[in-house]
Amino acid sequence: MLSKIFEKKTNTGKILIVDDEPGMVMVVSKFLKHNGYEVITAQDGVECISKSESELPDLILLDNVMPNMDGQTALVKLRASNKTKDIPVIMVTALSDEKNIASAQKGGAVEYVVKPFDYTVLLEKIAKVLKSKRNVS
Amino acid sequence: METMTTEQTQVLADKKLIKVLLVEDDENDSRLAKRILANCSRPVKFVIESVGTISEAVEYVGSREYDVVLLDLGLPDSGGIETVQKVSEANPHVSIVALTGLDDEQAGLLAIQNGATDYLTKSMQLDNLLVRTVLYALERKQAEEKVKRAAHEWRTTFDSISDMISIHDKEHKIVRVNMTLARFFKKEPKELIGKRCCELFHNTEQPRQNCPHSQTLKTRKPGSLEFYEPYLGIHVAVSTSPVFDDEGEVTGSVHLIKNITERKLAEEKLIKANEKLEEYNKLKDEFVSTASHELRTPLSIIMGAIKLVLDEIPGKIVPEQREILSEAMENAQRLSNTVSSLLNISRIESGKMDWKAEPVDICKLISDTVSNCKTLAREKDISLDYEADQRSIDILVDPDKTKQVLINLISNSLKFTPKGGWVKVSCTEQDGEILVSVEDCGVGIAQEDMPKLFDKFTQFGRKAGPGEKGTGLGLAISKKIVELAKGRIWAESEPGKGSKFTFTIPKT
Repeated sequence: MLSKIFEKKTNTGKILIVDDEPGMVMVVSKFLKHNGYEVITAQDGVECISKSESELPDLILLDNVMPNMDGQTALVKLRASNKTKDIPVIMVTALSDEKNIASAQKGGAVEYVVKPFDYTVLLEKIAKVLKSKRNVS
Repeated sequence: METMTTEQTQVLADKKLIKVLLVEDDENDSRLAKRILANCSRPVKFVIESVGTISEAVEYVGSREYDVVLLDLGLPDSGGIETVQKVSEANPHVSIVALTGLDDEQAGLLAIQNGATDYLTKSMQLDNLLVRTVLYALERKQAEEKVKRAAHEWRTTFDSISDMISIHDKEHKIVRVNMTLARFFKKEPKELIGKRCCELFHNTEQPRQNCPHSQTLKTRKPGSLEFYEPYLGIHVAVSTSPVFDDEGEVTGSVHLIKNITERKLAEEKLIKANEKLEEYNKLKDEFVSTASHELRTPLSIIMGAIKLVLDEIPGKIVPEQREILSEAMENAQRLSNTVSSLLNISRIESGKMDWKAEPVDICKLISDTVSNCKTLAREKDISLDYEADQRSIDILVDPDKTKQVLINLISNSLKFTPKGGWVKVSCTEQDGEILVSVEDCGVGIAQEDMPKLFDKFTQFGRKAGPGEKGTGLGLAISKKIVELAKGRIWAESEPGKGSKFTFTIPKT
């Protein structure tokens, strides 16, 4: 019982899911919520920026291909703004080639996952990133 | 007919040998001439043959070698110019000295106009005059022949140059053209002489602004220009060189005109082909991007949705529901693997895959990979083991791609090995290479299937019913990866007994 409470405590955090696919958003939200995270969502790069600035999530799950503004561009803008530059970003991409991954990392993404990903692995990565963020602060 | 040249005769003796044919019907005159020539004081020796008629003369000149022909114009069977012409025809290269009657200057001059090199009237035939005339005539003839040969050589060279050449004077008028140019304009060279270059090449009255001939005339320096001439319908590269007279004044220029139409066309073709290639490359990249996204996104959602239910997050499920959903999950995974394989092979073939080497303990990499595959092996009741003759070997490899190859080989072995069988992975170091082998006791590969083993989309032993199917790309991808690492991959097999796949990675 106690361990469950502690587990929940360390898993707490606000995660912003940025994806224009409603199916993706639904599935990932359910996983995250089940694991104790608070979830907010955005449909494209523009909404991503505005919600990041207003809600200040602990982590952003950023898809790449979206209308209006894609993930790479949003990432650059996030890093450029003082308000949002310290929010860790995990990039979600369908392209597994090195060039895309390298540019995501250069853009400032702290991690990346390639679709279709193992959801367990995703949860592990999220936990790792949040833990190291907490340790830093 | 080659006459003995001055140089050749000088080499022979201190006396120069000169072969003379004396054509004279008068006995006295003949004897006199012979005596004069025999007694000459110069360092020459005249070798004289004599005949009395023109027909004999023609026969001798045509069949034997002489340096000089002393020709009496008044012969019994011929006279005057005819005599000279006949001998000249028989051999155009021999020097003819005409002997005319007393004081017949006119006949002598006429003889020269018709092919004789010199003449002597009978009153002039004193000792030294005869000898001197003969020698002088010989020299003159030889000099003429030299000039003729040189001119012929020059002319041949000029005409044989495959580019067009024209020589123009200060008024831009053509002074000379070579055969290549004449042929291009389908005219005889003499028809083109006097035409101005702007007339001939551009069909205009005045030379153009950038006419290289005008430039060269002005600057006294070579000029050049490349352009398309619509009047002739060709691309040309023109270079002009100034021609100077003795006072250093420019009197005209030599034009070298290269027809570069073909070259230009080939260049244009190449540029267009390159542009097309760039376009196709871009299209291909866009296609791969789109395909990646459109295939992988729905797959992601499907697999996530199924996993949610299997993990019982919305609520508990019964075993039959689990069975059904597991089947769905497996196939979603299979679809995902196929997409990955296709995208992989597409990337490799575009040359977009890199081998990113880092320091890795290859033994550990292999043992970790093998451990990850043990679950799958256990499901099929196959024992999967790793044997190494060393605890650790550090080399530079791309870990992800090496794993990919290993997993491909292991999963192939598991696919084709029956229940209760075994698969053995081993690793050794040999001759500066790392050898990794995956051996099984499965169905093996037929000899006739061996050559096509690593080809794309080829599969052997594909069975109906339960069991994994595949895209037939696994080994092709593995081969490309190993080749990228500058290694080799091959298979040994015996049908019914088993197979052993080995790949090498160079240590350096």
